[in-house]
Amino acid sequence: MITHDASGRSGASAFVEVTALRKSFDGTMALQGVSFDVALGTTVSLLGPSGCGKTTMLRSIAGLETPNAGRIRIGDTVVFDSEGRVNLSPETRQVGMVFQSYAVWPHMTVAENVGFPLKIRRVAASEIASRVADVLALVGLAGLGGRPATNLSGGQQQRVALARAIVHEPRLVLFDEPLSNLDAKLRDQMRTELKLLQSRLGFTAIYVTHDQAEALALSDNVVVMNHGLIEGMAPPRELFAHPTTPFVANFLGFDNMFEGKVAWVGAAGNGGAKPASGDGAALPIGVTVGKDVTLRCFWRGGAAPSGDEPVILAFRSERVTLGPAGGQNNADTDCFDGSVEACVYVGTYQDYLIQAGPIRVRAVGPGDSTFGQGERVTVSIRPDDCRVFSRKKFPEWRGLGER
Amino acid sequence: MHGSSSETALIGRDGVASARRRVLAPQVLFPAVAVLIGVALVASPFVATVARSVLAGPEGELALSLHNFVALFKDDRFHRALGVTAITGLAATVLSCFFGLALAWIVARTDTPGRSWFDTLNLVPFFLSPFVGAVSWTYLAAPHAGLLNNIVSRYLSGPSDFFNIFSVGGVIWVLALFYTPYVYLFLIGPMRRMDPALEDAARVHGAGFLLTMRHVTAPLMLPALLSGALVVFVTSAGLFDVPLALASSRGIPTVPTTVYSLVQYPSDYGRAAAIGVLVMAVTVCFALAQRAYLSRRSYATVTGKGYRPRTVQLGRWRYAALALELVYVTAGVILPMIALVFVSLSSLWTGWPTFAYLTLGNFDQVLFYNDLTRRALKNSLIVAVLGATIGVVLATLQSYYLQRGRSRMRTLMDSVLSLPLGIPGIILGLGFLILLIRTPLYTTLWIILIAYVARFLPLATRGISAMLLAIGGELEESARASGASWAQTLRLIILPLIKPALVAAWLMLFVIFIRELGATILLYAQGTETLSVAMVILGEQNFGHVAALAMVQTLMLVVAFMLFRLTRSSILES
Repeated sequence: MITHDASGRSGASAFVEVTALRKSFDGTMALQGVSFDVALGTTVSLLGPSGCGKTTMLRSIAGLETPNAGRIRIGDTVVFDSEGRVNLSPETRQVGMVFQSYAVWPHMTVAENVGFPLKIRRVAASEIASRVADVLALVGLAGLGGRPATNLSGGQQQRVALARAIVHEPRLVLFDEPLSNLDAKLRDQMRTELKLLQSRLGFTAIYVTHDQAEALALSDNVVVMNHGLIEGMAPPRELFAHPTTPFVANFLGFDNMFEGKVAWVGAAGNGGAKPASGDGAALPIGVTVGKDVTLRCFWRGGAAPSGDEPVILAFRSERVTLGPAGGQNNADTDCFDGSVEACVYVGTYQDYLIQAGPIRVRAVGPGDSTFGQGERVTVSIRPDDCRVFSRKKFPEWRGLGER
Repeated sequence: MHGSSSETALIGRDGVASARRRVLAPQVLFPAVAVLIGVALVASPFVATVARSVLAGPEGELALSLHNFVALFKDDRFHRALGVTAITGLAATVLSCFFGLALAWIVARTDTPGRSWFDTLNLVPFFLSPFVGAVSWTYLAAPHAGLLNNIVSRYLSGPSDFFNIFSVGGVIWVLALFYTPYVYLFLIGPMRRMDPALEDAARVHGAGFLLTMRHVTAPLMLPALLSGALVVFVTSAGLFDVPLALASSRGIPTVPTTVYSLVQYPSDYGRAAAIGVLVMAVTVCFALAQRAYLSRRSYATVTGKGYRPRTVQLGRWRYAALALELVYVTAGVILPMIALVFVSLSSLWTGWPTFAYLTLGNFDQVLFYNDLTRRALKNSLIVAVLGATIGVVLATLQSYYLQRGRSRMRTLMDSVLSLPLGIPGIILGLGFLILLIRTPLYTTLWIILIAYVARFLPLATRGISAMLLAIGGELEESARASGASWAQTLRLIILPLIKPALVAAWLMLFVIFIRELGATILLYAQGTETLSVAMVILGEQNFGHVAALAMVQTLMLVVAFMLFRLTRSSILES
C-alpha cells in the first residue's frame, strides 16, 4: 500500500504532479494551494461537494483555466509553472477529456466527433477511419459512426465523448463528472463499463465527481476536497474505513456525528473489545456523548488524548443494530436505550431516527423490522465501527450540515 | 520529489517563450482589436460632436463657447421641432404597441384563421424602407392627388383632401405602421414561451379569462412590452426618412430634419452639433433607464422552453381578430405596394391608374439610362455587401470577446458597444461628417460604410452573441482539449455552429444598408449617392423614376427577407 503524507503526495514516482496550485475568481479562492500526484496508469478521483474546487482543479490541468500560482507537470513536461512563467495552451498538453455536458458537436456525425483529435493531428484518413471504428466498438457504439451526433440518447452521447477522449491514446484522460447527467440505472452500468475499459487500456486518469460511490469504484486513490483544499487522500478502502477528518467522514457516509468528551484512556476500561486485525497502534478510549452514554472506541495516531478532552465521535447508520429495550453491553458491543422518533420504510431497509436523551441517532434496520413510533429500543454499536477526532485539531468543524 | 533541477530549468526557459506567446494569443488579440475598433467607432463621432458643439463663431475664428446651446434654447422653431418630434414619437409608440401587442397575441395565442401566414406578413414592414413607405403613402393619401382621396371623392362623394398624409398625423401613421413589427418581435417570443401552467393556476384558483389576462398574462408581458416601447420611441423619434418625406415640404419642423437643414448651405455645424449632443444625452439616459429596469425584473417565468401555450378559442371574435390583421397588413404592405406598382408603371401619375399611361419606361430609365440611379444601385450594392461582410466579421469577434473573454471590462464594453443602437442615423452621420470632412475619406464610399457599420454593428453583435451564449463553452473547450488550436477550433467548431446567426446577421445588415437614409444623407457627395439618396434627389423631379427605383430596392429587400425567413426556420429546426 502506498503511504501518504498530509499534502496528499504519494511516495511513488508520479506521472502527474500538481504542486501548491492556487486559483481565485474575483476574490473568491477556488484553490488554496493544492498538491497531489497521480502515478502512471492509475486513476485518481477528486471528490467533494459542489464549489469545492475540484472542477477548477481539473480544468487547470487541461489548460482551460489559468491558475494564479503553482506548478503542474504531466509526464516529463511542465505544462504550468507560475514561477517559470510556463503556461502551455490546452491543445499542446496532449490529454483527452470527457465533459459533464458531453460537449458532442451537433454539426458533426459520430465518426467525425470521435475522429476529430486524429484529424487535428493530421492522421491519414484511412487510419482515422479504422481507429474510429475500433474505438467505437470498444465503447459499444459499433456501426453508429455515420449517425448525426444529435440523433443519440444521453448514454450514447456519453460514449461518443468517451471515445473521443481516448481515440488519440492520450497520456492522460480527464473526466469532469461524466456520469452525473445520466439516470441512476444507466449510471451504474456506465460505471462498470468505464472500470473495465480502464483496466483494459491502462490509461492514467483524473476523475472529478461528487458521488462517493463513483470515486470509490473507479479510482486507485481518492482525493477529497473542500473549500479549495485537500481534506484527505487515500486508496478507496482505507479512506472509507478510516477517514482522516470529520469532513471526509461525513462526506463518505458517517451520518452520526456527536460532540463528546474523553471519559477514560487505556486498556483498563476496554473490557475486551479489539480493533481490526493488525492495527496495533490503536489505543482504546471511552467517549461520553450526550448525558450519560459512554462508548468505547480506538484512538489512532498522534499523542494519546487527555481525560476530558473534547472530541467528535462518528459512526455510520448502517453499522447500528436496533433491538428490544434493555440490551446490555458485552465484549464486542456497546448499548444504550432510546425511543423511536421516526421510521421511514424504503423497501429493502428502514431508516430510523432514535432519540436517546439529548442525542439523536440515525439507524438503518432491515425492511421487515417492526419498531413503531414512540417504542423504546436498544441501540448497539461496535467499538471498532466508531471513529473519533480531536476537537482541538478540527475547531472549525460545524457538525452535520446539509450537503 | 520533483524532476531534476536541470530538467526543470530547461522546461522553464522554453516556457518563458510560450508565456510571451500567450499574451498575444490569437483568441485574445483578434477579439480585443475588434472591440477596440467598435469603441473607436462609437467614441470618435461622439467626441467630435461634443467638441464641435462648444465651438462657435465665424468660420476660421471658432472660439470655445456655449453660444450654440443658448441659441438653440432661444430658437422658437427648434422648440416646435422638439414638440413635433416628441408627439410623433410618443403617438407612434402607443399605436405600434397597440398593433404589436394585439397582433402578437392573435398569432401566438388564438385560433384566428391564417395565423401562420400573418406571422410572416406582420414582419414584412420590418424589412421594407420607411422612406419608400412614406413616399408610397403620399401616392395614396396626398390631398387631392392621392389614390385613396380620389376613391373618397369619386365613390363616397367626400372631399378630395379627406386624407392628408403631409401632416403630423401622417408622420405618426407611417411611423406606427413601420414600427409595429419591432413590438411584435419583442412580444412574440415571450408569448410563445410562456408556461401555460401560470395561466392555468390562475384559472383553477378562481380567476376568469379577463382577470387572468389582467393579473397574470399582462404583468408577465410587461417587461417585453416596455422594452419594445422604449426602442420604438427612441428610434422612431430619431428617424429622418418619414419626416423628410411627409413633414419638411409642408414646413413642419422635426429634430432630425432640423439637423439636416442646419447642415445645408448656409450651414451652421455648431448648432447642428449642439442638437446632436442633446439627442445623444437623451439616448444615453434612455439606455441607462432600460438597463436599470431590466436588471430589476426577472424574465425567468417566461423564458422556459418547450411549452405549448394554450390557444384561446375566440369564437365569433376570431373574425374581429382577422379584420385587425387584414387592416394592418393592408395598410403596412399591400396598399403601399399597389401604389408603388401603379406609379412605377405610369408615365404620368394623376392620382388614378390610367391605362393610357402604362409604361415600362421608368424601369428602363433607372436601370439603363439614368447615370444617377445606375451609380446609386452600384454604390448601394458595394456598401451593403462590403459593409455586411465587415460587420459580421467584427461582430463575431466582438461576440467572442463578450461571451468568452476573461476581461473584467466585458460588462462595460457590452454597454459601450451597444450605445449606437439608440442614436439616430443622422446624428451619427453628423458626427462622422464633422470628424472626417477634412480627410480624404470624405467624398468616398468609405465614410458612408464606416458610419453604417458604426451605427448598426450592435444589431449583428447581439444576434451572434446570443447564439454563442447558447452553444456553451464546453463544445469549444473539448476541441482545445482534443488538440485543436484556437484557429482550428474557430474554423471547425465555432463558425459552423453559429453559421445560422452569421447568415441572419449578414442578411439583416445587408437589408439595412440597402435602404439606410439618415446616416447617408449628410455624408454622400457627387458620385457616392446611394439608392435612398437617389430617391430623395429624384423626388423633386420625377415620381415615376422614384417609384421604379423604390420597386428595385424593394425587390432586393424582399429577396433578402425571404432568405432570412429560410435561415430563421433552419435555426428553429436545429
